Parts: sequence; C-alpha cells; structure tokens
Amino acid sequence: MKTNKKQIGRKKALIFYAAWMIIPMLHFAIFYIGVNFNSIILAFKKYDYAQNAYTFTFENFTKFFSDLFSADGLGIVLKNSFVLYLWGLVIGVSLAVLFSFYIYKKFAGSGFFKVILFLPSIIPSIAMALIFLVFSDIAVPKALNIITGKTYTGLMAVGSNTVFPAIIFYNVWISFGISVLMYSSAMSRIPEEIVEYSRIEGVSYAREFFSITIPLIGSTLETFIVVGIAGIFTNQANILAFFPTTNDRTIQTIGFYLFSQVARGMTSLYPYLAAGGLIFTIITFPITFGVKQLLSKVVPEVEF
Amino acid sequence: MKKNSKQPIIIIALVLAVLYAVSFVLLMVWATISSLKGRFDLLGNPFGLPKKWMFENFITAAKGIAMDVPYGYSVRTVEIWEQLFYSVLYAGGSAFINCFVLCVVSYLVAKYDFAFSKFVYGIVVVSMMIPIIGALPSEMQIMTTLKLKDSFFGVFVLRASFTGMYFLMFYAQFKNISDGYSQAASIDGASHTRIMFEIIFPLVKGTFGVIFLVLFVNFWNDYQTPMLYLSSKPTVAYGLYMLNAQPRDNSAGSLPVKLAACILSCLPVVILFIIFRDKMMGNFSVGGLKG
Repeated sequence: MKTNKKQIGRKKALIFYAAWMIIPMLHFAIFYIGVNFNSIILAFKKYDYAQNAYTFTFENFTKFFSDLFSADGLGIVLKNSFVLYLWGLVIGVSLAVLFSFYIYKKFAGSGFFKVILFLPSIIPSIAMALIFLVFSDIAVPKALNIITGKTYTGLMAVGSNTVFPAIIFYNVWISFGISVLMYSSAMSRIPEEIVEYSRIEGVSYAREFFSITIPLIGSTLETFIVVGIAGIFTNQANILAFFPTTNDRTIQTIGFYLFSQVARGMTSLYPYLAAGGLIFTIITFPITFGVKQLLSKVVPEVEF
Repeated sequence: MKKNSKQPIIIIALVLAVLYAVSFVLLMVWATISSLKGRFDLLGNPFGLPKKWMFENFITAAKGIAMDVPYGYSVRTVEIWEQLFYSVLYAGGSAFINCFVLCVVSYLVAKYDFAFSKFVYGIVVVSMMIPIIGALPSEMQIMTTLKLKDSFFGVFVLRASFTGMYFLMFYAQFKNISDGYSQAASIDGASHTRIMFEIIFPLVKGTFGVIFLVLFVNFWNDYQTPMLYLSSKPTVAYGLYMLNAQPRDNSAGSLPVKLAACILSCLPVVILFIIFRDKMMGNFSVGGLKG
C-alpha cells in the first residue's frame, strides 16, 4: 500500500513536471535546436537563379575562408575582434577586480564608486555611445587645441586611425557594471575569519588581494573568462550605435559584421553569413574547452 | 582593527576609481549643458555655458525621435508617446516572460530529481559556454516562417527562453530552500502547482524582483530586437537609434538635439535606478562552471 502511494505520488510529480516543462522544451526545440539546425542547412545552400531553387554547395565556406584571408576582406575584422577581446580581458577584467576589491573592503567612497561604475550599464547604450561620439569629435579636439595650439580631428572622425582605439577604450570604459557587482558579491562571501587572521598576521592588502581574494573568487573569475571567450565573435562593440551605416572594415568586429548584414536586409547573404557563423562556432568550441581545462588546473577548487 | 588605507594597492585603486568617476560625471554634465546650446554654439564653444539657453532642443528631440513606419500601403508617424508605450510593453512583457520561464524551469530542475533535470542543467551550461554564432539569419527565417515578426506576441515567444546566467541564480536560490517546506505542504494536501506558486515562489520573490528589474532595464535599452522584429512598433531606444542614423530633418539632426534626445532617453531608467538602486545592485552570485 505504501509503495502504491509512493508510486502514485511520483506519477503525479512527473505529470506536473512534464506539464510545466513542455512549453520551455518546445521553445528550446524551435529557437535553439531548430534555429541552429536551420543555420547549418542554410550554410550549405545557394540559390540557383537558373533552376529557381536552392542547391547544395560548399561555396559559402570557400568564399568565407577566402574573404577571411584576403587583404581587404574579413581578416582585419577578425583581428579587431581578437584585439578588442584581449584589451577587455587584460585591462577590463583586471580593473574590474581591483575596483571590486576596493568596494568589498568598503574604503572611502566605495558606495559612490559602486553606483558610478554601474551607471553606464543601465543608461541606454545608444545614448551613451552618442554622447561619447559627440564628445570625442567636438570636445576632445578643442581641448587638445587649447593645450597644444595644434589642430586635431575628432577621435571618431571617419577615416581617422584613432577610431578603433577609441572604440576599444569606450568598450572597456563601460564594461565594469555587472562584472564589478559579481566580483564584489563573490568577495563578500569570503569568510571573515580568513580576512581577520590575515590582518592579525600582518598581511598587506596587496598580499591579501593576490594570495587570498583572487584565489577564493577564482570560480567566478573562471566563469566570466570562459563565457567571455564565446563573446569574441559576437561582441558588436557598440559600432552600430557609433556608425550605423559604416562599411569600413578597419573598425568592424565579426559580431558587428554578422549583425549589420542581417539588419540591412541582405537576405541573399544569409547562406554566406550562416557559413561564417558555423566556422566561428567550430573555432570557439575547442578554445572555450581548452581555456576551461587550463583554468580548472590553475584555479583552486574551494568551498566555503 | 583600523584600516590602513594608505597602502599602495588601495591608493592605486582609489586614484583609478576617482579618474573613472570624474570622467563619467564630467561627460554627463558636459552632455547636459551641450544639449542646451545651438548647433554653432556647441561647435565654437564646446566647454562654455550656452550663449542662449535652448530648452526647446528637448521638444525638438522629442519630435525628432518620432519615426515613420509602414502602415498598410502607406506610412504613419509613431510619436514619442506611442514609442514610450511600446517600450513599456516590450520591456515589461519580455522581462516578465523571460523571468517567469527562468523561475519555473530552474525550480523544476532544482527540486525534482528526474534524470531530465540533469539534462536541462547541462543544456544551460553548454549554451552559456558555446553560443552558436551567426544564427541570426536562421532566426529571422524562422520568425518570418512562423509569422512572429512585427508582433509583440512574437517577441514574447522569442524571449520565453530558460538559458542564460539568471537560470543559475534562480537555481542556486531554489537549491538553498529546504525541502521541508514542500514536504509539509504536501502532507497537508497541497498540489505540486500550489506548492510551487504559493509556498516556494514567494520565498524567491526578492530574486525574481531583482532579475525582473535588471531584465526590464536591458530590454528598455535594447534597440536591435525592435529594429529586427518590431519595425512598425518602434520603442524609444529604436527611435533614438534612427534619430542618429536617419534624422527626419535638419533640426533633428543637429548635435545638441541628439544630445537632448540622449538625455531624455536616460531619464526613465535613471529614475527606476534611483528608486530601486539597492535591489538592482544587491548581492549577485553565480557559481562556477566546474564539471
């Protein structure tokens, strides 16, 4: 009788579970599996105008590879994507962790800095980008002119070689928001006893930062770094906000290129873009797992 | 124990934080003052106060954000008030649906130890680590085929996803809730649905509220999804993008007017932030991706 009741209970639980899972799973089946399966099929398609039908072809891949390595093709766009990621990783993550440490320690002004660091991530990105664009094109040349007496063009002036460095600076500058919150939250979970003991032993803040704090938030750092790798080829770097109609590849990233072609309604390029996306997905897969394995060896596994 | 804030690492952090704060505050103050100038005043006098205070720039900006959208065989103009309505609908609806689906699925995975739960958890982790790149053309095709383009229903369907970082946050919350609550309710005869909605979900309403707020702000600021999937129902963010990309007329395209439009678009989210600051910047925790 007891077993029967248990079985009925388990059956009811299963019916409830299935009833609430079915729609999310249907969504996943259509918008993840379906979309990606369709993307793979699309990558091998080419519209044959003579036959008025789609044909199977590898041409999209060969054309994408050819564009990737041609002098005025997508090679510079790919390089920009990696350069942007590296700056974000080295400078952005380092500064975010340092700021988070300052906030976690509740030093002077930490509450104020926490708000200021978070604000750029709640202000509309299009507004923030436009303000930065106008400032760098109008105010910065004027300021330099006052200081040096020479005439300068705007940092974001079309064709100027300062445009992409300015884009990198901007993207790192607005990147702190959620990451500072996450890191400082992770730091706040470090047991107080460890910190107090280190104080008693005369451990400096620098030593505490590098030897205690960073190792103990390692899993959070690892999560951000691993997820960030996936963003190398999806990060649009706010370029659409700065230059909505640009075709200048020297300032583009892969993420921007892939999005902008779709946004401009270039339906004839869909198979080509799908092939490119597939190539980058295949490249990301081993890099992500490789970095995850590497970090798993370096980052200590801690529980507290 | 007194903190010695004079140690080098703290001084470096403080100097950098002050530089950052000064750069941000100065930029926003400069933008606000510049939005009140005439176009030639801004070009010739970027750092001074306005020669003539042009408060009407904000009215020009509000009119300039208006967009002409297809309407049957003609076009109609969507003014800022209508865009505000669409923004609230898009941001609020998308945030609620996304949050609700995340909450339900993470609850089921955390509290029901069926083998399928492990599979779902795995899907979330893998999809976070390996996003499929370049799937947008395919997504456009599917949205078009399913006739979900240019409708709020379509966008809400698109947003009803359970993958992403917030799943892990909800999951961690549900894992921390004792099974005793649901067991006691079950003994009293409560159904699984009742336990979920009336016992467990109220325990995570704080987290739900925070994630809803964060998602609301994200969707409020999103101009790309409305660009692709709500072309005849533009939001304020999309209107601002178009003001920069294709100004309706000469006055709307002037730099001070664009800055005024930027300031206007910031106001709703800044007000929300002032009211809900503590909740939005509360304790976020995401576990590791071990295993």
